[in-house]
Amino acid sequence: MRRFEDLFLTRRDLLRIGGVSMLGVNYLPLIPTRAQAAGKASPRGSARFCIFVMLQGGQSHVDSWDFKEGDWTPEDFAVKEFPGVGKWPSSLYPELGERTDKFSLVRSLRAWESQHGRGQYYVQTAHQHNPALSKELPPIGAVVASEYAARRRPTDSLPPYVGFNTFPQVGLIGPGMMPATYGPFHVNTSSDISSLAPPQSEQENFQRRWDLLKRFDSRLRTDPALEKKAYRDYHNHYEGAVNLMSDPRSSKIFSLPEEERKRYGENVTGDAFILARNLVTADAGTHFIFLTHADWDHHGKIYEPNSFYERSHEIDLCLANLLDDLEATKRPDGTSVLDETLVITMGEFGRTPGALTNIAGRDHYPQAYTGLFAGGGVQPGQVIGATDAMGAEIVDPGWAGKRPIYMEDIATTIYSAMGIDWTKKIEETPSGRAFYYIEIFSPTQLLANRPVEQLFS
Amino acid sequence: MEADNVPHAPLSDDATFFRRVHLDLTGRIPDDAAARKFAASDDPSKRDKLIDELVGGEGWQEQWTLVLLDQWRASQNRIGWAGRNLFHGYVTDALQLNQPFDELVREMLTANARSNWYVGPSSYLVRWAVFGDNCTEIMHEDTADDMTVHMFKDFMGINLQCVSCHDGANHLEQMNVWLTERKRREFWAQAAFFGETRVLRRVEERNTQDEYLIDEKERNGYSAAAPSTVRVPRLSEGIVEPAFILTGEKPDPNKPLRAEMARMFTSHPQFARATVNRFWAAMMGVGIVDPVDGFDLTRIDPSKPVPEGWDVQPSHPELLEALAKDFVDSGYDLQHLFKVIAKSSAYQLSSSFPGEWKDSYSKYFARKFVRRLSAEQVYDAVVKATNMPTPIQIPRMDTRVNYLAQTRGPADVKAAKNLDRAFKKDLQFFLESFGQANREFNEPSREGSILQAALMMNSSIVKSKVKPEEGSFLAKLLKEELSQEQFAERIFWRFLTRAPDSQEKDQALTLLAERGRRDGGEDLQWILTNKVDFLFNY
Repeated sequence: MRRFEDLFLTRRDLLRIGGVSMLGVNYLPLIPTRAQAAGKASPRGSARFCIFVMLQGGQSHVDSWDFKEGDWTPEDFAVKEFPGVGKWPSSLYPELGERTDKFSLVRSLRAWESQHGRGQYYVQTAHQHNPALSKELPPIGAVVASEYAARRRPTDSLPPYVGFNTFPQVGLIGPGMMPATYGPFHVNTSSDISSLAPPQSEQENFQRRWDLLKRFDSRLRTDPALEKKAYRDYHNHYEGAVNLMSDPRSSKIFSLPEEERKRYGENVTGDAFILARNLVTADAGTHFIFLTHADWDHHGKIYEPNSFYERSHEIDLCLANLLDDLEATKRPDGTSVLDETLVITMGEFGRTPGALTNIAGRDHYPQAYTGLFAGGGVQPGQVIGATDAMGAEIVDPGWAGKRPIYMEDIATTIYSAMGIDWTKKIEETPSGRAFYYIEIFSPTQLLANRPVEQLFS
Repeated sequence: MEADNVPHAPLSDDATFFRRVHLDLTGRIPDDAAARKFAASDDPSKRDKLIDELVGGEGWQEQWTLVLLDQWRASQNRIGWAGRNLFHGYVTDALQLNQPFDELVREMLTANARSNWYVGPSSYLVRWAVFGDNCTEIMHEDTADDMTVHMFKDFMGINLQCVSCHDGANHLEQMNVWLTERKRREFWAQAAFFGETRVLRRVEERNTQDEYLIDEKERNGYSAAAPSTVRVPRLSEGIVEPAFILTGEKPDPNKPLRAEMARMFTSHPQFARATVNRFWAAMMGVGIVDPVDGFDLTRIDPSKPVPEGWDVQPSHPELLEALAKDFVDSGYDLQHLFKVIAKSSAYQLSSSFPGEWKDSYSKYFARKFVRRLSAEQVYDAVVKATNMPTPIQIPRMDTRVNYLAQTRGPADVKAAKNLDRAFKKDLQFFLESFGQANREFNEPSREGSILQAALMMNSSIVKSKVKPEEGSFLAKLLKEELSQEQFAERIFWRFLTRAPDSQEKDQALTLLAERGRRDGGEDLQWILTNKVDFLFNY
């Protein structure tokens, strides 16, 4: 945790000291409360939490949530009509098929990018990757963290923005110019999560060692000299970690009982879903969660059992259980956790429609794809937008914007649902170029971004 | 410094210097016995001798190849494993043979290859190939733009990214005087040196490979009307004639374009200036111009007036010019440059300051700045101190290494065939959390985080390595006949390259008395691994 006074360096101060970083910290964070509103937005404020699930690699929309049948379709997809969503591969998405009244689909998504790295960057930031700005540009989760900083209660011990299992191509985007504490707290469920919350049996030994460490290292860690500031800062991170580990809620949040794991499919993604669910139900400081479900990049042999089938089964089970659990958990006032949690699931782009390629796969396809939305005020049971018979072109955008829905629009929707004025900008940036929460210039045209209100009505 | 009446820190003590110079030059902490010997030696030229020994040595070659390839983003996703390994070997050879740095850069900028998997230096440029709507189509002008942006960033310290999309005016007034005056057309003229450069991606049975051809057989030049998949549309017309953006010089029409470009590029004074500044920053933690790719050419020369409201940019213009001149005079001798920096008093000062430190002293380099160890260095330091290596198989090679400084890139841990699956996941996560570069979008970072602290205290990586397992440093130490005091001192020297102070010694003796040498020794190793003077280069 940075000391507060460290945050009040403006770009001009940076120029004055010639960019010489005082203690080897090269990118000084700027104070994000300088964000100013530019327009007249009226955010909905229907959600306090957001779980964003990225289907990394790009889910084939035409084999899943915008299903298009053809002579390539394997028989065992067991295609059936389902209420509201039309044709549905019932063996791939059986659980979601039974819950079409709990979520809505948007079939008029379009991506700006057709490469994984740039596409995944877009999904995390809602901005085009620009190497001149990428060091300072914060992801959506860090913006949410800064906006929610003022609402943070003394009892909130968990980080505002938590990421799960997000590894390259692009990896999890850091806080940029925002303070490090607003950056993603990354949890890898295929690694040993007991580092974050040691089991009860190890607590005593841990506490003993921590006490010893503090005694051994107090001379350096508490030295008030300015040139020892880097050590004090680092000690603050230790204090933060120990707070987290010794909060009795942590060991509950970061635990994976066997029966739960079974319900969620016993895999790393299921584990991440359980922890994400625990984080929002605990309401202990975490508001934005970015969760990656990897390996959707099916260029070849898409219909092999361990490829599209397996991914679909995993995400089907995870989403269905998450929606059930969030709905079943009630706050004291009787509202369900799902009511205040916006859940979004989508890839960085779709995949080429029609017949498979000659290596039996589908390639990247940005022109049209589908996202799943639920909770946080979303009116479930809708299908917004439509593509042509192939799933190649969007024929009906299905919303007031009357054009395809881009990541900028989805970010606008997230900010609106979370009660954040999406027209804000931060003028004082290291590069001198204003950071707009939602970029006013899209890569190729001027878009009037607005929330996808149709989702909520 | 004296002219401005700025006090400076004293020279670092021998043991501190020994640790620092090993970390900076080889990426690893030093051997404890060698450190004690060095501290005890009364040879007045022992520091210079040590530097001469380390610079050019194997550890130095390994460490700096890794740093350079991280900087150049030599990702196997872009150039293939074969291309990456070959490129790595090529750079290591250049460092070992002390190839003049300007010559190395010219080789990379002019390399032609049927495949970058067979010609080491060709990977530098083909890494920046920009795709069209599918992954086989290469966008000719976009690729030229990206190559141009990155070679200027890497070797000239100039960030042309902004003017690659639009003129500098109305954008960069607050940031950079020189860039404000640049036009996008001037950038195109620079990129037009790649107008005849052809890059093709290899496709086998419709499967794309991360393997590229690069030659100068493209005849269409650089079109100002070309569409772009990554930049603001060009919307102009005609073929752009090449001109060097720093001088306006045009190429000799009888010579290959890239050879002409490389000649102008490496002979310009800014090339030497940016190079010495980059290595100075890497050794010192802060550049004379910082950030190292933020040069403002209008504000470099202290003898020329700078615009109203601006200062001369380098914190030490004379130092920068002297280093650059010396580098050119030495024949762009990289080993010489490292020795000059490491032997400078600025480098050898203590990080502690006797009086009250003021931020205004920073630019004088009046003391050494402290930095957290890099992700690789933290892990390597744990391995070295505990003597608990886990061999890592380099992908597509018949080589196993114990230290991350010896790997060929950050992707090697994930791809290592021999590693236990759980250990691999834990180590990958550990490194990512400590800011390891990924050669795609993430540059190496030394920011701290709560997660790092949690992992240092609780990850299986640290907890398992501090145990007195067979073959470990601690297991061996337990077998030696030592007094309690000697036992504690040996552990301190091993982990921190210094003796304990009197308070630390008392605390260690109490701990060993209470818990015994086996358990207390493990505790002590855990504590020292988590001390800030283990985690920082100071």
